[in-house]
Amino acid sequence: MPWTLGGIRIYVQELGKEAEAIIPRLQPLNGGTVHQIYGYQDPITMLKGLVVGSGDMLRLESFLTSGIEFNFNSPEGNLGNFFVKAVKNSRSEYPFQTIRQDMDCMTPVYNVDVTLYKD
Amino acid sequence: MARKLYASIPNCSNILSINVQDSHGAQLGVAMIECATTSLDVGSAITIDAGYTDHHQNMFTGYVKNIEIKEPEKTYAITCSNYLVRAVDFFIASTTPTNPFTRKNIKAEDLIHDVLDLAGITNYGYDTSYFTFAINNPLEVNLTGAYDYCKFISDILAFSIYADINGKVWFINRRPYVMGGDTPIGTINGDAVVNNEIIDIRHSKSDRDLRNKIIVYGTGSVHAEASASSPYLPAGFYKTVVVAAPGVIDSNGMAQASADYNLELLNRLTESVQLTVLGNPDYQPRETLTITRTALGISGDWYIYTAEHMWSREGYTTTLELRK
Repeated sequence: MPWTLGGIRIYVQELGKEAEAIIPRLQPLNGGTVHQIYGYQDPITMLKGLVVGSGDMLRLESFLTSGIEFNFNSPEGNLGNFFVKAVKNSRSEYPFQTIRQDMDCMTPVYNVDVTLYKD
Repeated sequence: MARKLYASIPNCSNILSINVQDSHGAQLGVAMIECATTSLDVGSAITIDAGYTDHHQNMFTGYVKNIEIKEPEKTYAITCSNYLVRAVDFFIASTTPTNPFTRKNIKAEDLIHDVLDLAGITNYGYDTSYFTFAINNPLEVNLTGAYDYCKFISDILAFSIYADINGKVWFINRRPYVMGGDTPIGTINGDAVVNNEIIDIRHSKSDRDLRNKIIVYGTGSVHAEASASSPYLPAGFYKTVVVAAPGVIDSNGMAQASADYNLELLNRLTESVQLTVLGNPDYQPRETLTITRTALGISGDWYIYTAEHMWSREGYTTTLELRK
């Protein structure tokens, strides 16, 4: 099963997670630092990859404005539903793309950085 | 050792921050809550239990007065007033001008009870005042707020009226300084090298609230005066305050007692300590604390005049104003 987000094929090159505990640090007089445990942030998923074709790229960007969650699939299975928090893209100037052989070799290829929040 | 923060507010979830503040001198205790989800509405009863998982307690009982929903965060900002707001919001107005609320030959604590009862406040405790009003002529209470009238009565006696954290209203002989019989609820050792809980601290003295001459006006020609010299004012100089209580004080003896009580209350320097400490839900106004910070010349028992509890992702701290 390929990597897909909301049905869009993404050629994932890097997949990372970032999680954080919220631990305020207070500094009393004389003594050492005091830690208090407030809570934690749920993990944020970040992926870098390639998207082939302007149509898929536009669809991916439209996820930002949809306000709904999208299913994220990996070769190992379904990773669940995610909100798309941010999409950064830059177009790569490949002379001829061969990543998606079902598409024309002149189809543009985009490098994408996508940030996902799991609800 | 790190301590885990705790907060519980019925009908609120995903609580982001809590701020609870109350003061001896304030009309009402107030609380501000920020949360992501709530089913509370304006007028809902509310309690706030906060602190740490290993030490938390109820720190506010009152009513929701204002709800604001904010975008883009989609969070709720809820403002609440404590139980005494019932009296603050209740305006006493008789249905006919000829039939106002009247009482005769009534003890101060009973008069306060009856006025609070008009506002639906029945959870009430008091100290015996030994003050009886309207011995000769009935007193009328009309076209005034219930709290305003109760505060007027408590000022005559130099008493205090307030609602505690559990929603009980008190009318007691509580001065804004340490009194005989006060038992400290805890000790803050600002000299400690380990486990010091003070984050910042200031010590100040002021004559701002000092009054060394009290004049009381009662019904008709009833009046009294009490004065004393103050070591903090120029010789022979008096800062005067007037207690005007026509229709309530109808004997010179009662007027003199009021003047004497208020002189004892007001003829003193305001010596205060402002400090921020690691959050402690036990630190509530009208309690006393023992505190030492030798570098600032602070020691002994102090009265908690103001307490503000701030609970958020920045941590839990308590800011206190203490009075000697």
